[in-house]
Parts: sequence; structure tokens; C-alpha cells
Amino acid sequence: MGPWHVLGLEATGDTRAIKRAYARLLKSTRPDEHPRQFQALHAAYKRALSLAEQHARAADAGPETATGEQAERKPVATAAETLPPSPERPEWPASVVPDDPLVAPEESEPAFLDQPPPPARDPEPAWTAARELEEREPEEDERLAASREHERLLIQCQALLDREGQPAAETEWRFLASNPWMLDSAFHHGLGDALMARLVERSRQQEGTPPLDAATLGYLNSLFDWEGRRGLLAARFGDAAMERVLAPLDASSSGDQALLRGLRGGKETVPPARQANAEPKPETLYFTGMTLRMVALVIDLLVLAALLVMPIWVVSIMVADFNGTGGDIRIESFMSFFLVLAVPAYLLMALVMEAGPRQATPGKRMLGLRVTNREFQRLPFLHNLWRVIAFVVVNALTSKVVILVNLFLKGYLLHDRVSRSYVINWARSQREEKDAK
Amino acid sequence: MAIVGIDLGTTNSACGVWTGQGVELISNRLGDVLTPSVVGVDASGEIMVGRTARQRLIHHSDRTVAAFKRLMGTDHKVTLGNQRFSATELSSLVLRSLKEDAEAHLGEPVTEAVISVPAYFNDNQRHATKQAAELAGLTVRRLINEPTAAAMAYGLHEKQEGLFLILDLGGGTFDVSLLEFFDGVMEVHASAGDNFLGGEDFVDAMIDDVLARHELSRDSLPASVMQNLYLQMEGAKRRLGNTQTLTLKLGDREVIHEVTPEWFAGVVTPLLLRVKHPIERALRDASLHPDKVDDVVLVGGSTRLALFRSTVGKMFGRLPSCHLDPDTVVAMGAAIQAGLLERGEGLDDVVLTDVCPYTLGTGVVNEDNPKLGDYFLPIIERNSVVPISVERQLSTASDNQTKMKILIYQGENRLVEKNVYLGELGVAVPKGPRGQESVTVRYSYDMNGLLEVDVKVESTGKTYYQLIEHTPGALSEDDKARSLERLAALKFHPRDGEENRALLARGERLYESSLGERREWVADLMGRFEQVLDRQNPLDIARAQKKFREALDSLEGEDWF
Repeated sequence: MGPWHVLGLEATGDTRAIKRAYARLLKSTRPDEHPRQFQALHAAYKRALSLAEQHARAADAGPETATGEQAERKPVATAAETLPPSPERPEWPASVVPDDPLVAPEESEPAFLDQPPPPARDPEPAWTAARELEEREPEEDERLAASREHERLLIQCQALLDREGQPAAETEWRFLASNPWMLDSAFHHGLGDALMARLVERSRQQEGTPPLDAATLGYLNSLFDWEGRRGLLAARFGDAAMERVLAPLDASSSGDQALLRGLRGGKETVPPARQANAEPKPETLYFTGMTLRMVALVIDLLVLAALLVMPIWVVSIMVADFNGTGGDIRIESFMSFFLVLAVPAYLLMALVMEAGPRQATPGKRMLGLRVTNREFQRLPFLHNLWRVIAFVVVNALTSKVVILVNLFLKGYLLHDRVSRSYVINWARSQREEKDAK
Repeated sequence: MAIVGIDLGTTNSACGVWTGQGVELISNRLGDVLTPSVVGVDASGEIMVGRTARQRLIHHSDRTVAAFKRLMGTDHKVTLGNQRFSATELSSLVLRSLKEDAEAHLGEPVTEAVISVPAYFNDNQRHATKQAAELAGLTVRRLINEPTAAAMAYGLHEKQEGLFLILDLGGGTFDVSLLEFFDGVMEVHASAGDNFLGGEDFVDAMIDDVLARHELSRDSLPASVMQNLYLQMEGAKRRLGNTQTLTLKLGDREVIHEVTPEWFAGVVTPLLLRVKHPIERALRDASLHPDKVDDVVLVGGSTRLALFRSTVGKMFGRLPSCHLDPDTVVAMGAAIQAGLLERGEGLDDVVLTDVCPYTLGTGVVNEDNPKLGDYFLPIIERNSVVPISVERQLSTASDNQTKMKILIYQGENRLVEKNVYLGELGVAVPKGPRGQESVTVRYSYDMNGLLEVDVKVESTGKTYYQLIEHTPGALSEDDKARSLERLAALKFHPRDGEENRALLARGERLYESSLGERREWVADLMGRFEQVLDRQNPLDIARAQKKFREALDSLEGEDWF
């Protein structure tokens, strides 16, 4: 459906009429009530406006300029970035101070670099154009003063860039911001672009190493908005060059500094606690071999024997002695106590702790092992219950065969397979990753 | 029941309501239209909000906090005394205070509100604002962008048609909106901004410069000294224009500092340059020449700075206009929007169309240069008109992938990590060779500037709705219930006698910051005032209040608030 049909108009170049029709239709197609119809209406409105504008431009400039190319470029909002500066007002959004011969990077730049850098604060570089303009109007004077200042600042910048040895620190660039001329749009843009031209040149000479460190670049970017104007700059210097120069910006991460600066008062601010799953996961994860699994099991059982079975056994013997029913069967009674108490306790412990934040029983934890699901994340409680049941069923029913088979399964044991869970040797995975780096 | 319009600002908040004839701004318990967004806890654990709390910012800085709007949408918390608060909770305390004032003024319960947020607030910050309102017992009918709200107030006030550029420089945020007003349509063309640029940063820049001159760092000075310095600089910023000589106490040293307009200009130039970037970007995005703008409108307290005005003036070659009070115009606009939602009488049929100021997208695997990290795939482009809903197809990146994680980001950088993380959702996909399985991701952006994401798995047809997880700063239902319970248990200072407490807090501040005879005089004044309060005779109290305030005014020259 064409835009004119949606708006209920004949094709027209009258933007006023288009707006009126849109406004009328909008009253019955409110964006919050009819979002879909509204999008269609709005699209039609925008299209109609751009058609009308083309029409008007074609009427203005004669038929030859109203080519298809223009028609295609118009509706894209960002097309403005490539729009040439309008001839009536060269200072906007022209990015170059017009009189400056040094800003055009193609010709003058290398010549400048060949010369020895002039003294940093010399306000009078060879400036011939200046003399010719001297007797003009005050406006011209101001322009002249601007280009002089531009020159002076650029020389200062170049001196910082050229310094041998220790590169200039971010604080040494602060002189730029305190310059009153910086608030002038044309001056500010001109200087930013000229400085960028220097940086591009420099990175070309240095074979790709970025000419500035992240802190300095970050500071200069906050002054000149290179990141925001990247599209414009890339059109001039090329994508690859921008990539080279601005690489440190891409690599640096913005901290919370800006966030906390403005805050007033308060005893302290508490940063977000690091969450358990925020810990970096090693690239390669290893299963836990049979030996380590057995060692972990033994440790767990020993722990339980010491903390749970032993005290109960001792008490029961003391009670038996007191009653006079005790005999010589103490060692055997310990074993039966162990079987009755430790095995269920182990299962209970596994059930609770493997689904807990540590994802391991004490023995597994000591060895740096973790129980995970197939996404390498903590098991939900019910999943872990299924894992424990699988452990009991698989091992109790077919114990000897299972142990034999497990020996060949490289740490992905039968009950792991049945319960779709892993026991990961986290400590080893982390170690290997560190070694690899 | 009336819907109120609330401007929840970094420095000050305000509240208004549509009455049929116009906007009525609601005064708080102290009779002020502006309530400072400051929250304090006193020694007995009672909460205070507003001017009383603000007076305590210097000498009880560990129990008082301001400018917490900066932390909205993050997981940072602030400790006051022995309690810990998130920015959402602190904001809810301010909202609760405003709500009570509105209820006292209107004589009926208030449960619904239109709340303004900076246009450049991201999704996390918007969600946090909405939750703050819920914690305060308010349902948010609409989140309105601050410049848009200001434009509504202007549009209705001036009855003028054309293209306006609204610059909103508040205490902590800077917003730019370009909008057009015609035939009862208010169309926002583009929004841009800087979430970390406001009046507070200007003061910070002044402080940093002074400290750098004397080779001191912020950490080396005690909190009360810093707060005092902040107060002096804040005052100096307000009185710029002629040279002021300040005596600053920096720890054990006393230094004389001259505040001249030139010094100030030099110190804040980097900030003024940052002001220009979003303006230029908004114009670029709308493909507009600055000449086409009919009027530049200034909103927000910090636009009073002469330097800001002249910078903007130079950019556009004309003086910006500022006919309405820049401090309250946003609250007025929010109240108008509330009136529109009620289809209130006396309001012409105005339809507002807004845009989303950020590009919204997701992360996709970067195959050319994996070292750099994933690329950002835009789904909704910035400055698209809202409400909008866009679909994109994504496919699996490796063989036998069983799960796809859709990471939701907002921002303009082509590297996904450098954008603002909004959340993620995971969907299960059937196994298969890479690229075979695909999902359709739908981003929907509503009028409030809130995002919803649905994912549909193509081969199974299974759809996942709104499962954004791990949103920073957001509360889960459990958290919210817990937070509500905790906040409900907090005791507020009773409304009655707030004026007296504010005066005493001010007296206390003066007492602690002055010396010798002056100090004794303040103590004497406070003692006498307290005696009158004890007698509980309303007439006497009113008289003593007036006297006490005048005495304090004469001592201080002016009320610094």
C-alpha cells in the first residue's frame, strides 16, 4: 500500500497537507492503543514527507539532480553523516578550519613531519596567508586568531607525540581543554580532525601500534568525540586507520568510576557481590578419573566415620559396659555401625552438598571436583536426587561388574551417564588453562 | 482518583497534578515545591527525606545520601548507619514522601503516577524506576522522558508550532531531544544524551581542580571536610559572575581560593565539550541543520549557568529560551501527561510519539576476529519511533549445539561487550549441524521505553516469552516482597513538625561549622527555640519559628538550599 493511500491524500509536494492528514489520522490511531497500525501510519508519513522533499528539490534544481541515487539515500536517517556541508555556512558541520593548509592530510602532512618540530610555544610559525588578511574586517581577524591558535595547539600536540622515550601522560594533554577556543564549534572540530590526521599518520609510521595509550585516548576522545564521529572520520581516513588508532578504546573497559563519582554521602557503597556463576569457566573441562573418585569417596567415608560413627559407637559401648552386656565383639560391632550409619549419611550428604553452592561433598571439595549438569552448571535439587538414586541402584545391584566397567569409562561413570550429570575435575581444568596461558 | 506526575530528579524531585485549568504543583510538608532527593537515617533509625536530610549531609554524611539516581539500574548498594539500601529503595523512599505530600494536598489516596526519567536512561534504569514506584505503593501509568515532559509543558504554554530542541541539564544527567509540534501532534525526532553529566559534575570538576592545586586527593580528606568543600563550591557555582574569595579548610590547612569566571570556564571546558556531543548527534540522527531549529529550550537547574547558555547560544547563533521555571517544568509536563492519560478536561487532544534513544540488539559470534569478542547485532535501531516490534532470525554457531543464549544489549558500539548488558535468555534447540537450527528473536519496545523479548524456535515452534534473566539492578518477585517488608518496617519522621526539625537540622549544621561567639549564639538560639517547642503552644511556635529562621538567615547571608 502506498503512503498516499494510507494518508488518504493525492500525491503532493505540500508538507503542510501531509502533516495535517497525519495528525488527523493519528488521533484515531494512538501509538499506545494501536501500535501496529501506528507503525504503518508513521512509516507512510515519513515516506510521504521524503517524497515531497524530493519533489520540492527536483522542482528547485531542475530535473537532472532528482536522480534515483538521491531518492535512495534520503530515507536513511544516518545519511546525514555523509551529507556534504552546505555551501551557505561553511563552518557547519564542516570539520576543517578552512584556511588551514596543514589539515589536509594528503599533501601537507608528510612535509611537516620532515621538518624539525618548532619550539613548543612559538606563536609565529611561517604564516604567509596571515599577512594578506590583516587589513580585513574584525570577523576575519577572529578567524585569523583561531587559525593561529589552532596551529599553536597542534604544534604542542605534535611535540607530545614526538617525544622520545616515556610517552606523554594523559595529564599532559590537559592544556587542550583549558583553551577558551575549544568551545568554538568549528575550531573544536577542526582541531579534533587535525589531531586525528596526525595520529593516523603516526600509526602508519609505527606499523600498526596504536600511537596513544588507552587513558590518553580516552581523555582525548571525551574532548573530541572521535568514537561518536567514527563514521565521519572513517570516511576520511579509512576504516582500517581508525581501527588502528582507536584500538585501545575498544580494548579498555569502562569502570564504575563515573558511576560512583557523583554520589554524595553514605557510609560506603557496596559493589555488587560477585555471583557464583560469574566465575570464569575454564575453556576445557576434564572428567575426574576413577582413582580420584575413589579417593574422594574414601575421604568422605573417613570423615563420616570420625565425626558420626565413632562417637555413637563409643557411646554405645560405654552404655553396654555400664549394663554389663558388653563382649569381645567390639571391632565387628564398629563395622556394622559403620554400614548402618555411614552409608545412608554419605548419600544424604551427597544429596545436599552436591546440589549446594560448592557442588561437592567434603572429599570432592578437597580434591577440587565439582558435580555439574550437562551445561556445567549446578544441579537442581531434584536432579541431584535422581543422581543419588542412580548411584544406589547402579552400584548396589550390579556392584562387581560396574566397578570393572567403570574402570574403562574415563571418569564418565555409569551412574553419571544414567543421571545425565558430570563430575568435573575443576582444579585440573583451571590449572591446565593457566599453564596454557 | 487523580494520577500525579512526578519528576524524580538527581538533586531535586517535584510532583504535580492536572486540575482541569492547568497544572498544580504540590508543595511538600515544608511548603516547598522542590523536595531534595536526599535520604537520611537519624540516630534512632528513623528515615527522613528532603530538606531536613539535606541539611544533615555535611555532619552526618555517613547516615545521609544524595544523588543516588546515578546508581539506578546497577547492583550497587549504599550503607547508611547500619542499614544497606539499593538505589531503587532510596528512590522509593523519596517517592513515598512525595506520595504522602500529594495525598495530604489532594485529600485522597494516590496510587497511580506518571514518572519522568531521563530520555537517555537505559532499560535497566527504567525498570529500576518502575520498581521504585511499586515499592512506594504507586502504579506507574507511564514513564515519560524528561525532555518530552518539558516540551509538553512548553507546547501547552506557548501554543507555538515548530521544531524545538530541548536541552535538559539536570543534577546528574544531560538529555537532548529534538521534537516537532504541529496540529496537536508532538513528535520526537531524536533523543541523545549523557547519563553521567550534570550539575554535580561541574562541582566535582571544581573540587578536583582545587585539590590538585594543593596536591591532595579525595581519599586523604575526611568525609565531612569533603562535604563542606562540596557545599562551598556548590554555593560558588551559584554565585558566579564576579570574583569570590573563599576560605577553604582542607584538613589541617586553610587556604584562600579565588573563584573567578575565567577559572571556572577553564575547569569545566571538558564538561561543556561533552555537552556538545549529544547535541550534534541528535541533529545528525535527524538529518537536520541547526538553522532549521525554531527554538532551543533549556530545562533543568544547571542550565542557569551563564557559561552553558553562551556555549549553546554560540552553537545555534541565537539565545536559548527559558520562560518556564527550569526546576519544575518537567514535573509540570509529567502532570500534563497524567492529565492526558485520564483524558482530563481542558486538555486539547495531544498525541505524543516518542523514539527509543538507544540501539537494541544482541551478540553474535565474530568469525573474522574472535579475539575482539562478539559483535553487536542491532535489532531495533536508535531513534526508531515507538512502540515498535522487530524480528530477527539467528542460527546456531556450532555443530550439535543444544542451547542458544540470547544476550540482550543496548548501545552503539560494534563490540557487544562495550554496550550495556540488559539480560539474557536461554532456549533449547534440537541438535544439528551448525546453521541449520534457527530462532526468531522479537524485540518489542513500548511507550514507556521498556523492552520485552520473545524467542521462537523455528523447528519446534516453541516460544519463550519475556524470560530476561540476570537484569542488573532488578528485583525478583521474592526480593521485591522482602524489600517491601523491610521498607514498611522503616519508621518515617512524622509529618507534623517537619519544619521545626528542618530548622533545627540547619541550626545544628551552622553550629558545627562555625566557631567562637558565633557558635555560642547559634547554640543559644537553638536552646531558646527548643524551649518554645516544649511548651507546645502553636501560636508561640509559629512566632519563634519565624524569628529563628530570620536569625539563621542573617547568620548565613542566605539559605544555601
